[in-house]
Amino acid sequence: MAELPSQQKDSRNTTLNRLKGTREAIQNPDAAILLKELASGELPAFDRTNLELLERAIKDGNKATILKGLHKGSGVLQGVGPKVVGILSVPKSMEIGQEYVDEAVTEATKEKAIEILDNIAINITVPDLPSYKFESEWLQWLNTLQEYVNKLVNDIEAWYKVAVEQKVNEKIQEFSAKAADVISTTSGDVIGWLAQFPAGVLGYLATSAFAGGTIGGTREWLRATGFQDISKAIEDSQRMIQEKKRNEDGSDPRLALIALHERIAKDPKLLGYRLNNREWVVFVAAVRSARVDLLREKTRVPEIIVSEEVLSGLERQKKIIDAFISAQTEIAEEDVTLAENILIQFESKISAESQPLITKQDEMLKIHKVMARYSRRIGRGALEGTGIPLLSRMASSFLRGTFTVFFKPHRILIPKRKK
Amino acid sequence: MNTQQDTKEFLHDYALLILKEAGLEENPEVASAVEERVAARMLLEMVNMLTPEEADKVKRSMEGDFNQEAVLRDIAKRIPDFNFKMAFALANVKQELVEDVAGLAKNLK
Repeated sequence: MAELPSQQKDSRNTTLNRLKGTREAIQNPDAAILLKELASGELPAFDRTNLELLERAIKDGNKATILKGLHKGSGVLQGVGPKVVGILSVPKSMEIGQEYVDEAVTEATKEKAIEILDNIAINITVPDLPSYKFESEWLQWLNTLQEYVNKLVNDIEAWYKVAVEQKVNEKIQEFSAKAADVISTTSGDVIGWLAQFPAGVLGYLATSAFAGGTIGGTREWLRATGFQDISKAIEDSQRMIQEKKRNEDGSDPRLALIALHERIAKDPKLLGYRLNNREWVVFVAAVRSARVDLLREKTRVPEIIVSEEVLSGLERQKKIIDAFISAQTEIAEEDVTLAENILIQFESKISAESQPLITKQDEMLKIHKVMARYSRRIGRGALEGTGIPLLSRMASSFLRGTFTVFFKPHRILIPKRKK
Repeated sequence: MNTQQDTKEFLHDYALLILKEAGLEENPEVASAVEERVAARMLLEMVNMLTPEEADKVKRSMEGDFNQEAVLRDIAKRIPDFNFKMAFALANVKQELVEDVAGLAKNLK
């Protein structure tokens, strides 16, 4: 017979292979599907690489050694894990809060998997690979391997539910204890009148301008820049917030502080004040506290609305809710504004102590545009970065009712507001 | 489920928890306002934790082609005890909101 041209030969081989594949599919459809998935790397629980690694693990008498080596790369467990509980894929996409899951779940799962593997009796004769992938011996081996992996998955799954519960509990305890430490070290008596600022401002100031509690030095600095006048207005406002003590003439010092800020901020020459950026942050933080306190008062005692007795019950309720939502929205905007003010003030490589207040309008506008557009997303992103949402989901999934407990310990640790 | 979805659901659950503790029946509009408060406060607290140099870096990133996720990752890594400080801030704003919502619930009676 004459030699077939090479193109025709390839075509014939392809046809033969297809026929062979079809025959196999008819004889053993499950195996054919398994092979197809293996070839395409789309097996649900593990890919081709992982199968090969598993095969090596089985061939090797010391499975634990090989599996330990797999931890560093994309090993078997990283492929099996997501199938087990659908949660191990989360840390891959969550770089910021990964430590929780790593510590609480992943490492423990890996260790347990090795233990389970070591305890599973394996009696598999591994064929010489790759002799021919449609050989029945190879198919049988794959079936056995599949059973083996399924057992591994089932055992890990059973253990995993218990482990997550236990580990999450441990993390919750650890988290609460650590939070208590942080609170006790950052909310100390740095400067009394800063107590009502957001925790972050307090932490920031404690580590920067007022570090070391050099209050005497701070006072000198206040006099030099003219901030002393402003600090008096801040103190009065804080006294009103904390003790409900008005000025001697009966006026509200919170409003006086807000008015002073309006006048200074709107004057290109800052009314002659030579404030530096730290002083400005303290100032705007105090103004924010004054505004927020006024807004919160509105939500607590909606006097005007309550006096409108002519309104029907439903109308009255709607008005009260609308006023509440409006005030809360304004408070949220105050928080974003303060964040803007803080960001605007700082430049690297310049001593923050001596740097004058930045009043460049174009710079402020740029930051404001980004904040207006992304503030909610950034705020949520900041929360994501803590890992708390993930942890709470894990806790609520595995420990019904723990979600509430998780945050309760903090409540008793927060310093009580002075009445 | 991705982390954004986690956060979205967490904030919603957190808002409902606050309403429940404050004795207010479920109210989607109030819950939404509460969620916004928490998100804004988290933003403020995070910014407040920055050193001047880090604040400058964030500021510059906002002036250019702002990549929110990259900036956040960078910030979170640089702030010592970030998770715990934010947890404290979260508990703090919760306390405030429970007080506020309790006032609302009282006024609605």
